[in-house]
Amino acid sequence: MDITSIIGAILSGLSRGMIYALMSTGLALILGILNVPNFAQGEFYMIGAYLSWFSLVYLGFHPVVSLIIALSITFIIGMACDRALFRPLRKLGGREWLLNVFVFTLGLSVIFQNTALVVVGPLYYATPYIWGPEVINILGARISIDRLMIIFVASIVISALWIFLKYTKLGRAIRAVAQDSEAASLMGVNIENIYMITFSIGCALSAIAGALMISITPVYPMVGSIPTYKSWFVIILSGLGTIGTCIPMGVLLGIIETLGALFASEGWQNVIYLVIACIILIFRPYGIFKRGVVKGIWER
Amino acid sequence: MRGGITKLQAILIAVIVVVAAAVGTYVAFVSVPRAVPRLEVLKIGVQGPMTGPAAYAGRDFMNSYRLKLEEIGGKIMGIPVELIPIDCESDPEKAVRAYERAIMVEGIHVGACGWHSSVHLALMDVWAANKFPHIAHFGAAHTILEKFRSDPEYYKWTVAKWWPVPEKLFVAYVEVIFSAVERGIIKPKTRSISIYVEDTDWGRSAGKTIAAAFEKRGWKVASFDVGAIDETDHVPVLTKVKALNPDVFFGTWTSAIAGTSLVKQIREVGLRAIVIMDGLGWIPQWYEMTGEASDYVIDMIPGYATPEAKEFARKFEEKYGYYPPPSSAGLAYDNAGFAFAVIEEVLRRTGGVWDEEARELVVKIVREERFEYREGILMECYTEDPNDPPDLVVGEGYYIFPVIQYFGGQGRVIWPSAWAEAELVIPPWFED
Repeated sequence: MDITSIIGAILSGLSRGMIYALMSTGLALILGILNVPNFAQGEFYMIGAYLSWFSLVYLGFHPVVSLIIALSITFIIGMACDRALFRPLRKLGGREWLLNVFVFTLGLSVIFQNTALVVVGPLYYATPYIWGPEVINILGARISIDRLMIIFVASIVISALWIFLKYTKLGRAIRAVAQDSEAASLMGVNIENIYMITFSIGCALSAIAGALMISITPVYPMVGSIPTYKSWFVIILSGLGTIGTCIPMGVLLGIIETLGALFASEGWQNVIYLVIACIILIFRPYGIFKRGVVKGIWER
Repeated sequence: MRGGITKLQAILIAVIVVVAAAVGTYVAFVSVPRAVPRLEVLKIGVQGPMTGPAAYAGRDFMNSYRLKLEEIGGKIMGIPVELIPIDCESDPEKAVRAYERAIMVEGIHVGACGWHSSVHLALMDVWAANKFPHIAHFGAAHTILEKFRSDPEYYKWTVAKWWPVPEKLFVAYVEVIFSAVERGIIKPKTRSISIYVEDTDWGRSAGKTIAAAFEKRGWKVASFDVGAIDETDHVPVLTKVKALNPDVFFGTWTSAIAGTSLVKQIREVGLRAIVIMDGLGWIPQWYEMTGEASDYVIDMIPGYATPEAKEFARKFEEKYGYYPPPSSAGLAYDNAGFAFAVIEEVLRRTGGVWDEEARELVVKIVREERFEYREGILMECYTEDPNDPPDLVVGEGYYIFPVIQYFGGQGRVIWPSAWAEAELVIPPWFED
């Protein structure tokens, strides 16, 4: 196998991995702060992809505008979901919250998928390219401008999220709630608002992933299923609820998949990473990047 | 005899019983030919992927069936027809459940149509177990014929397989490539072909057929890969294929997302091969997804050549708002015509009754009596091949697909020579 092919596969894996990183960061944020294992995360990916297609292809907007539309509308839908669905469940759920919300998000996923099926139908919507048809040569390997933009935009979004969480008042409040929600509440932090904003940020991250992918994966009602389970895989391996580690783990997964397809066959890519996952979980059941004993997230 | 009956009464009772039994027997077996009443509504199960990665085909099937039914006034032999969709979701297991439900719960009388080979293969057992005829399923793979041949009597219920096995049709691709090689249009560099197909019975069957045909001509198979039916990122496999520098690349995908993504990514990785993408044209709006990446791609699909076919395309587009893809909508329209004609013949013979005998008649009419359907818009004649059932007869005057090459979203016929609109054009990057 020549080096150009390996570089090509790594670049392809990097763009794939950045999508996993975006999705799993959103998932980890929601899991770490709200204790919600969100199985409907892929449906926000689907909504983002539909919105992006509609604004890009149907309305003819610039890709940046279509990304902003996908992000902001999904953010609002996320807010509405938390306010209308999760908040009442939080209040009523008590000790059974985690189990309730587990079933609840699974149900939500099915409802979103079937609503999309009724509203937009079972057909596929795609565009040949988002940013342009150009293909760039990097060290002899060819990569489309759309894949490069996935890497670029995802890096910017993740960096912006990191700056937001680290340096803004709201970001510090979110981190405070993640560490100790009761203490944060005593310090005057409005916990319910933090939950709502966090949930919406998580949903918006998935929407960006969906919007960036419409030239590679056409959008249809069930499009979010595979990204969701891959994202779960990333956060389980990196350590449940740890946000920063999802990025290297997502990228690693993407590259393992593409190298697996390159050296073995397309069908082997899933087998290879699942074998690696089993080995990792045997030796580090709490994930690669997490220290300590295995604990339920509700015990932290 | 207090409390008993007299001898006369006993004789009378015996006479009444004997007369009643005789009358009953006559009524049951002689005077009325059937216990089953004439049908009030005929329920036809239309099988296909109504949702999932090949939902476009299911939508086209239902639309074509509805259009054909509307044209015949919604009735067959005066009996109103109800079309019941049977959604397989592109999954054989789900197909079996949906079909059994259609028979047991929805009460369909006969089934027709269908798309995937893997689904066809799985449903053959359902039809056999229920002694239930299914007319004209599109599933094409060789494994279907093998299963049928393993017990032709048990599996007789699949009639008029609507898409022949790949080797009967793919001869055309081989002809196109090797005729171009002989004429010096293609100057092979490695005399090799790379094959990358969906991981289904259809994909594997098609890939093996092409591989065998090229090997027979002295070429080598540089690579043979299979991928998930809904895979959208083919770059790793294509990167490997590019390094092998094959002269010809062959792919076939029934899923809209996988097929169109593959065509785009072939251009993205810069594969310098002549690309055969069997089935790209099955997908509606495929050009909206591939753009100019589909230029120079070779495919094999039927076209609307006759005035009747053009009229169908016009009516379909007017009614449903999109151009009917010939391979799914066009063939399904003929499929509906064939199925309705067979059912009409059965009902004519049974006097509007649908029972076990009617189900047997479906098989008998199509297979033993060699039913011919000549009112189709895409093929001259549809009839089951007596030497190789349940496949249809393939060849000129019967079932034949032209080979086309795409430019700007339009296909130009390049084979057979009698129909050819243009010569095969080699992409400029092939010579680089």
